[in-house]
Amino acid sequence: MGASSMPPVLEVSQLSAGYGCSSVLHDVSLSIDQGEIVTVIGANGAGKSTLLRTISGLLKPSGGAVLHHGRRIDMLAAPDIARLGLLHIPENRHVFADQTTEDNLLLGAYLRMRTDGQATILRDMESMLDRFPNLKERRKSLAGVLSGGEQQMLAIARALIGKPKLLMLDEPSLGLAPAIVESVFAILLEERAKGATIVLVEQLAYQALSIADRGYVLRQGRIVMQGSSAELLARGDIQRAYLGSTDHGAV
Amino acid sequence: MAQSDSAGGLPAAPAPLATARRHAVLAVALAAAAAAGLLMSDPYAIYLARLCLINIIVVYALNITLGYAGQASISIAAVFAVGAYGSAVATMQYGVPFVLAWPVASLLAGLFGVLAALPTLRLAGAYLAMVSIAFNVVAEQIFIHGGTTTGGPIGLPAIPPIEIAGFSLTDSQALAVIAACSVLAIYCVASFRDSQWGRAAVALRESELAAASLGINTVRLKIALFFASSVMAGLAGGLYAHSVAYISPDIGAILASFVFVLMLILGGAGTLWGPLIGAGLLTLVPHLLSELQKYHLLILGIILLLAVTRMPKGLARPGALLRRRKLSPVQEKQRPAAQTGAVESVLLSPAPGAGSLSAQGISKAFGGVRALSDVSVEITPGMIRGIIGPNGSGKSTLVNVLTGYYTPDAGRVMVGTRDITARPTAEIAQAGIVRTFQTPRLFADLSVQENLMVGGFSRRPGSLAGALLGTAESSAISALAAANAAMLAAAFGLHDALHQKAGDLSQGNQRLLEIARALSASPTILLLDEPAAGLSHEESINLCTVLERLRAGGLGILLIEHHMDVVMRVCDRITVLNRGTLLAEGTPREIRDNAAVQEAYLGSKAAS
Repeated sequence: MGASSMPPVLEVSQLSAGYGCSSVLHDVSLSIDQGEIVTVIGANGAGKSTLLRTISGLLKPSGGAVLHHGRRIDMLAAPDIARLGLLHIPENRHVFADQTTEDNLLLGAYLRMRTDGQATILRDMESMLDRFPNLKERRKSLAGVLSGGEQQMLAIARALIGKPKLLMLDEPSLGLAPAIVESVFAILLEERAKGATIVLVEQLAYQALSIADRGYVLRQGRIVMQGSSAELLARGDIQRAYLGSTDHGAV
Repeated sequence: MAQSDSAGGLPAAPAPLATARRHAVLAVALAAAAAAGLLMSDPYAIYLARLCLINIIVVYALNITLGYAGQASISIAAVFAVGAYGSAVATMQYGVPFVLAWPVASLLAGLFGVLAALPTLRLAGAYLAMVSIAFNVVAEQIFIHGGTTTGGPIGLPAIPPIEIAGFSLTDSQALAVIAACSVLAIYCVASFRDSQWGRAAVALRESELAAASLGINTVRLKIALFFASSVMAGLAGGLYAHSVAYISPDIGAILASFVFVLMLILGGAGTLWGPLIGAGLLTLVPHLLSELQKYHLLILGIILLLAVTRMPKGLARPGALLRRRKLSPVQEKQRPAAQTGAVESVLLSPAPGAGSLSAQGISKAFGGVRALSDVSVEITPGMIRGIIGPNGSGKSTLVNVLTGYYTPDAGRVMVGTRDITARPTAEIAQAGIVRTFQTPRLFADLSVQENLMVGGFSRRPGSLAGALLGTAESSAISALAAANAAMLAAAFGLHDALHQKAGDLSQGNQRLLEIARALSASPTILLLDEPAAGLSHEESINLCTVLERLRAGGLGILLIEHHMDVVMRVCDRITVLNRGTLLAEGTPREIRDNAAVQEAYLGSKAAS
């Protein structure tokens, strides 16, 4: 890796956070460079979702700092962090149930309304629907009547249409059929090719590492390992603890 | 009551604590009432004490329906007024003695309360609140326009005092009776919350859908709770009429209902001590500031604003909003899941000769979209049937049809030889068909143990009267359910978390708890909607072990799942849906080798 002169898109430095008296994250440090896919893996309850919630401002850290291009953002409120282009897709979808698929996507482009014209946004919506054929079929349906997996796709598409500078996904594979998981991950690779920077929290550790450049392993709120995806995939202890059979999709 | 013996070495049932708490209530309240009765001679002080104690009864009554069961029907003052007017009219105009008029009027209030609550069977939340406000306004108008019977807008003066066995009670004697009644009310509500009825009520508040899926007849539950609560409010109304000696339509006005609701919310809805604190404060404070009487409403309004913004959960649990937001999963110890107990031992009744569940030719459309067309599937006891298919292929819709949430456009659902098509969910659950949800719908505010106790309610509820009076039978039912719950928790590796709130569990444990809770309703067929979603590899393996053991115990399982390693490992047969139609059916091997399935569902890796 060449030393880049630009500060990383995201730098998390000795971050601690928790809920009330129970602290969940301890001294977590990591950094993400422009154009990388970085995955965070770990067991349930290890603090992966808490990490994303802290970065996106939904939770205030109890210690440490979060920096975006070298600027501290951990004091900002969640909407301001989103306005900087750091978008978080939480685990539980949160689509706008009483609005149509199309309206959900247009709302995803809300922050672009002023800068980009309506025509551009409508064009982007069409291309987004082309990338998610299931959603295209249901474009006029209310989001609330979509199946669980379709809602998950909608949540991802709604975030992508906002052209985030940094996209944080919390278990995008949740509830998706294996074939759809493949295509969602393929879309993430396309986004990276276009210059997007992505943080991916996943239970399907094998697939996540397969598309990621680097990975961090979180255990009980601490980073216990980090390295390139190839290094992590090759490690015996990682395989045993998180990967299991290496062919989830392939049976 | 040797009830906790049945739990053996397992964690103790909550019964001992509950009993202790009840004794404490009794002691404290009796002491306070005795002291008050003896010390008071000032008529104004007696009046105030009476008012305070009567309000306490009403707010405890409201706590049952609005606090615990979460039903936003707020016409409580109208119910209170029915009790007051009923008893006053009966004694004054028909010469009925107080000891008869009082309970009869309260029963009338109970019926009236049920009538007022009928909209709860269809409505919820803000709509329900609106309807109950309208109902209250109508009732108020009836009191105003009731002619000589109700005394019109002026009301009824000179109501005879409380009379027991021919003796008319003096003011301080009446105060003692009212104090005893309010102590009894607190005791009853405390017993209720510790009973299976109380758990069912909270379950109703936390997720009506999940409560019904465990076999709880929510219609009957709501009616019973409103009846009990309204009788209690009616009794308070009678005490009011005969101790204050004058009633007017104001006591049943919507404004009075708002004040009762405010007392409950300020003190803490759904808490044991909230009603006492709220009713006490809001009765005494305005009167103690009597020179500010004209600002009464202003003061109430400001208190409400402060209460809702500063401590939305009430004074009885002030820390609640500061420390715990609902979304926070607390870090847990890594648990040795499912290796502890023999899961099959928790199958309460392995259902001898239980029928299989079959769906025959099911079709269902939403608007123009055909979600299912002509799908048939069968699950027999002792088998695991997987259902896989692309997103939106109709898997969850099928589960919703099987459990009565949706009425199919065509086709039948049978358990054995019994047709259960589109029957109420609770009835289907009682027939042994119990489901879990794609996104866990736990009773977040109940402990893990209590979540697992709710499933036993439909089989053995006991009587509501017994629950209110805290009878030995009611305690025994709770203790049995607690013991079963502890066993289930142990089998799922959740015993360390037994007393944690379900909402505080990690995702993985929430999923396990959902399965355990479904089992607590003693199903013969279990329907699991994506149980492995969000589970780590290790947790998925544990889940497989659990499912295999349950099958060995004779349970039939329908498994919707996208984790192919889980599906291929545990399923006996697999049904593949695509766009609402049956794409394939067969053994895991056949499905894996099916080219159409590979293309539609499994993706490129499987084909290579």
